[in-house]
Amino acid sequence: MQRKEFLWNMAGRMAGLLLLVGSFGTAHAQFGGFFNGNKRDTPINVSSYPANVQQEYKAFQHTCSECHTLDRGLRVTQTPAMAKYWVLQMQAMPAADFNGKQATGIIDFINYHQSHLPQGQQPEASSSVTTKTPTPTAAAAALAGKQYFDSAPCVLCHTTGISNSPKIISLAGVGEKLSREQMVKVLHGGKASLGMPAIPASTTSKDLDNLIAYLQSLKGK
Amino acid sequence: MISLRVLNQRTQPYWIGSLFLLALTLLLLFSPEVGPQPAAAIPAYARRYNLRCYACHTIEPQLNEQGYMFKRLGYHLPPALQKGTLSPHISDLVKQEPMWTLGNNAAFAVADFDFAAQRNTQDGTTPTSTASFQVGSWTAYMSGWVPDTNFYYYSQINMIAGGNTNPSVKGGYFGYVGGTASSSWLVQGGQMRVMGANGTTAANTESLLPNAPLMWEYTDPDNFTLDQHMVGLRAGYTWALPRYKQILAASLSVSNGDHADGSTITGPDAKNAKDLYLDLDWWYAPESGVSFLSYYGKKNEIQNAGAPNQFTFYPVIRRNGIFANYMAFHDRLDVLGGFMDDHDGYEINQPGPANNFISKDYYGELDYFIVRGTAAIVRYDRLNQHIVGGIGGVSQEQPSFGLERAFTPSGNIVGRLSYSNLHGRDPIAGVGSSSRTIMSDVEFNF
Repeated sequence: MQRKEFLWNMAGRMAGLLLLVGSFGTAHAQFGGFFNGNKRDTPINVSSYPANVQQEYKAFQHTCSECHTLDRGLRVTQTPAMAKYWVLQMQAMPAADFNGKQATGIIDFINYHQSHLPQGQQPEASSSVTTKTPTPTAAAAALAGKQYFDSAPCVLCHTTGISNSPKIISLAGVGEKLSREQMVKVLHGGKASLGMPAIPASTTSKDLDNLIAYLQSLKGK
Repeated sequence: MISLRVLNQRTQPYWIGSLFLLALTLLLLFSPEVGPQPAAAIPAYARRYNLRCYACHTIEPQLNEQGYMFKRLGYHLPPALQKGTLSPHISDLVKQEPMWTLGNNAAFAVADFDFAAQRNTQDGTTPTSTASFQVGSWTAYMSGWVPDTNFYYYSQINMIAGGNTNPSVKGGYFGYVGGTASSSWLVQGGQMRVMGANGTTAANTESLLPNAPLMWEYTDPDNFTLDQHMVGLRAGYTWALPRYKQILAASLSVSNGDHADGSTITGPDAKNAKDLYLDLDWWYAPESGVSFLSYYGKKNEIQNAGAPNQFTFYPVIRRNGIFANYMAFHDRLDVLGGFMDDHDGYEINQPGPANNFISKDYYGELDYFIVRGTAAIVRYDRLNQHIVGGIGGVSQEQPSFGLERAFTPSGNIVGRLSYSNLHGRDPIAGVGSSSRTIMSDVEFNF
């Protein structure tokens, strides 16, 4: 083997090895934390549900798990209005392959499942949220939501303003001004007219719930 | 060669390789506990949106309708298109993207480990058998959107290709996408792949089989292959109905293309070989569509290189094809087919009459998805070829059978097994040959 060819060969091996080791390490450190696409779906026991709901569960399972894990479709505080909103949104995506009847079945299943969750895990009516005294669990969620809020880019505009400039939009009293559904809509859709981006699609359902709990706790002027 | 290569091109009895392959494949395909476990690291786009690979692929790397739209919208996730609501502008999609990080814009390695056993025969020669287990390919990608703009970019670096360690840039371009999600346009420039995932499913080089389909990859008597990377400009327009019930898309590429022998033109060249490539796509139902493509290129071809009778001529190369697929039974059965007409200039000797190479190419394929991420594939390619003034009509055929299975819930690690039998006669001399190949590979995307 020619010396030059040998050197190139060795350099290629070293570069490859470094890239392989580096990519594994970097990937694990950076991405392992928020990607849950490889998480197997948590099984839901639907054996006690009526036969038609069990069929609707199958449609939900097959359709929704194609793109994401099922827990994303079963956020525990999902109200019927939100469930309908999101299923119809998903149906309008290019990958969706379910008709209106199936969409109705999926919505029915989510609502049935939500309404049969143990006490304390059921969705709350949005109208009662602002008047309810926070429970210790809600307070803990709001605290976790505050931590998430502080670590996310939200603070750049809502708390100190960009580079300590005046705040663009004050969040004071947002817990009384917006319902939970409205908050979800703004968080997921952003506000293009104000240049507000949507929250990252990778945000987990738990982080979203905590964030909303925090926003709901912001009352008064 | 990289040290992971265990065995390369070692000649051994054909049946030993086959038995080993069979055992390995059965183990991988039907024993989930033994197969690769879910990886912590996964591809960039799936990471960005926390989605599974199936959101954009039937089985990686074959794109589905959503993956196609993702690409057409400048690597932004297509939004929900509701009837009666305004379609968001691309600049709105830009604002909704998560924070730009290296992590959700780079795939550090797409690696393919393969085993192939091959039996080759040719008229007048002794049959040969080879078997090899190797790192078939290892590719790093860097692609995504430029923060706060409608620009996007793509680059592909091949560390290993075809089992050979030879780092090279194989594709890189910048683009701009404008308009709305339902009516968008794009322009991009750089080195782009002609056929790679630019059409509907039937007109896609990324099939479910581990080896590239004959129709796209065969080399004509001018040493021209359609599936190539060209340096040039591409403009496209995409129109989508609410809920993406129908999508119409058109693309036109003008490029300073490859030499007829497939080598890329990236520097000065005696003959400025231009390519024109037109692609029309119509998705008419979820995962079903029709594509029409037309290619025109003028090349400089050196014939009899190095011999006393070496000469150069300038063939015009044309390809016109129509392809369609229909996904039936709720994404269970995909029926695919296509026809392509080849008409290339060709000269045997000089001085001599300018002749033509003509080929009518057909393929049909059935993909049966047993469950999500597991598919059985049957495919048949046939090329009916002749050179005007040559030896007469010949044909080449390639029946292929395959199994594919994803090992992780997201679908980022897939194993494939295939058997193919390419046989026929070459259109120049009419020499008969055959190549039976059993191939198995495991592809990691992270």
